[in-house]
This record gives sequence, structure tokens and C-alpha cells, in this order.
Amino acid sequence: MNRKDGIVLIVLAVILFGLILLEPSYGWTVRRFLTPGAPTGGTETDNPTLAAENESLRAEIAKLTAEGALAPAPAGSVRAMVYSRYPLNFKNELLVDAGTDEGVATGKAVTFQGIMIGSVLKAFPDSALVQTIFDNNFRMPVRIGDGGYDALLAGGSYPEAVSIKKGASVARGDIVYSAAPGFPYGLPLAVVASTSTSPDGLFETATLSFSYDINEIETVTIAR
Amino acid sequence: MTLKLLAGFMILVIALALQFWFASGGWYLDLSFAALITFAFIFDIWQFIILILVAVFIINWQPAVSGEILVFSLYPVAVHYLKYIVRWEVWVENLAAILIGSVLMYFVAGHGTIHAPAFFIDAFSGMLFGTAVLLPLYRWQ
Repeated sequence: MNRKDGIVLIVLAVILFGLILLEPSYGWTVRRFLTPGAPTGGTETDNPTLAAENESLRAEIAKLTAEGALAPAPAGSVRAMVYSRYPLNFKNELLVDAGTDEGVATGKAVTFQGIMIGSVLKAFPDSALVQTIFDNNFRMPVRIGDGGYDALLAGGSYPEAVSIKKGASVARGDIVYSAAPGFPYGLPLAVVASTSTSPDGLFETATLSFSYDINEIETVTIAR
Repeated sequence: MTLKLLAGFMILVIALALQFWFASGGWYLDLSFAALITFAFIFDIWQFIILILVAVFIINWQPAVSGEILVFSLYPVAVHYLKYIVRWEVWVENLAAILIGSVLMYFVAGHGTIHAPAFFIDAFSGMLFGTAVLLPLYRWQ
């Protein structure tokens, strides 16, 4: 490498280092460009708080309509930071910085801005492993929409609500909320994106959409 | 020098694009890490640092510097210097470096535990990608 090349490379390195430290947002822009399906601006997903609030309110309406009564709020909860696993980012599990010392116990619901994202799989003294609804083994009874139709949430990379009674008027935009024993009742999970008949023709199946990106979550709330 | 560096940059961008594309489908393959480890055997130190900085810039360290991003950026540099000590066939060194890097990355990311299925898929795909990158670029020396 000659002297001129060396100087060019050092200048480039300094510029890149400066960008990394001072303007990391440009890196996000490049990354967004390389990521398929990433939002580019002006959509609801740009404001996850607003989208999550919207989803929570819709869940509340669905719950009140279906059940005619307000479910009790969770008695207590603990806020926890999600450990970064970047660039690995397992969607099926999260490691959080609260454990049994803070009152976290196995099987408790984990929420992000009021939306249930999974449950505690293992609790350690100062950390806990959360199984998210994106885990293939995640299963839980849920209800859907104003009609409160029963379904089973089947986890995976693309979670679905399955075993919905045939003829149930489940439609796109209906809220899916928790109805499993051991979890607070009525926690929103997702909204229905589309419905179809199951391969055996006995039930309906609903694909789901989510207002958050599980890889972007930094804090969660765990029920005690 | 320029052409080779440009080729390295293109390979890195392809690795990142593939990594993000697979991630959107639920497959977490750390191809850019494998590419950087392979670059340790191909580029001189300043070209190599440029490529590492490009990768860190796109992958992004925010909201805070994590153990993973430190392993991601520093381990390939360590490999770059270790290659002068270990004298095996370059493709064997490359495979070993990617495998050890994957173990290290998963160990740091998993806080002392390794998620076995994801690890094997990631390590295998990394070694495959690294070998595919090494063979043509190494001949370019």
C-alpha cells in the first residue's frame, strides 16, 4: 500500500468513526434500505407508542363489549430492561434484567406498553428468560373481537389464531386478547390480519399483525 | 487496492442485506460477522478497519455499546493478528476462526449459555458464506 492510499484509508476511517459516534442515525437509514419490509416513513409503525395505545384501547372496547364488565387491572408488576442480543436477535426469547429477587416468577405474563408479548419461561435471581409469542412452542387460549370468539394462539415466526369456531364473525382488525388461566384477562396480543378456513375445513384460522417489532423492544413489564 | 476494497465492500453489503432478509423471515444468520472474519485473511489492516467500521455503522451500536458489538468489531481484528501465529491452511484457519467467533458471540449474547439449534445453523451458514467469500478473494492477493 503506498502513502497516498494509506492517507485516503485513514481519512475514510476517521469519517466513518465520526459517523458511528456522532450520526448513527445515518446507519439506521442505510440499514432500513437493506431490510425488506422496513417502514420508510409516515406509517403507524413509526410511532409504536401510539399504535400500542390504539391497540390497548381497542382491546378494552372489545373486552367491555364482550364481557360487559371491566377486568381487574394487574395487581403489581415489575419493569425490566431487555438485554441486547444484537446482532443475533432471537425472536422466540428475550433475556430481561429482573429475576426472582424482584418478584418475577415462572409463567407470569410479560407485556410491552400494555400488549402481551410472552411469558416468563425461567426465572433466575437477577434475570429471567421470556418465551415470546414468536416461539414455535408457545400456545395459549385467546379470545377475538367484540364477539369474544375462542381461539388458540399458536406461536411461531408468524403467530396465528387457530381453532376458531367456523362461522364466527372474525374480521380483519379484530383484537386478539388473552383468556388463559394464570395471565391477566384481556391483555391485547395482536390484531387479526386475515382469516381463512383450516385445511380440515372444521375451523377458521386467523393470521395476526403486530404493532411492535420484537427486536426493537428495550423494556418490558412483568406481572408479579 | 481500490477494486479489491470495493469488492470487499460489496460482499459486506450483500452479507448484511442477506442477514436482514433472513432475519425478517425468522432466521438469524450472522453472515456479516463471518464475512469480517474472512476479510481478516484477505485485507491489510487499514482496509480491514474500514470494512469493520462500515459494518458497525450499518449494524449500529445504539442504544448502548453491547458485548455483542464489541465481539463483532474486535474479534475479527484479533483474528487478523492471530493468523501470523497460527500457520494452517488458510481455509482451515478461516473455518476455525468463524466457528470460534460464533461460539464467542453466542456465549456473550446468551450471557453464558448457547442456544444450540440457532448456533449450529448460524455457525454452519457463516462457515459456508466465509468459505465462498475466501476462495475468490484470497486468489486476488
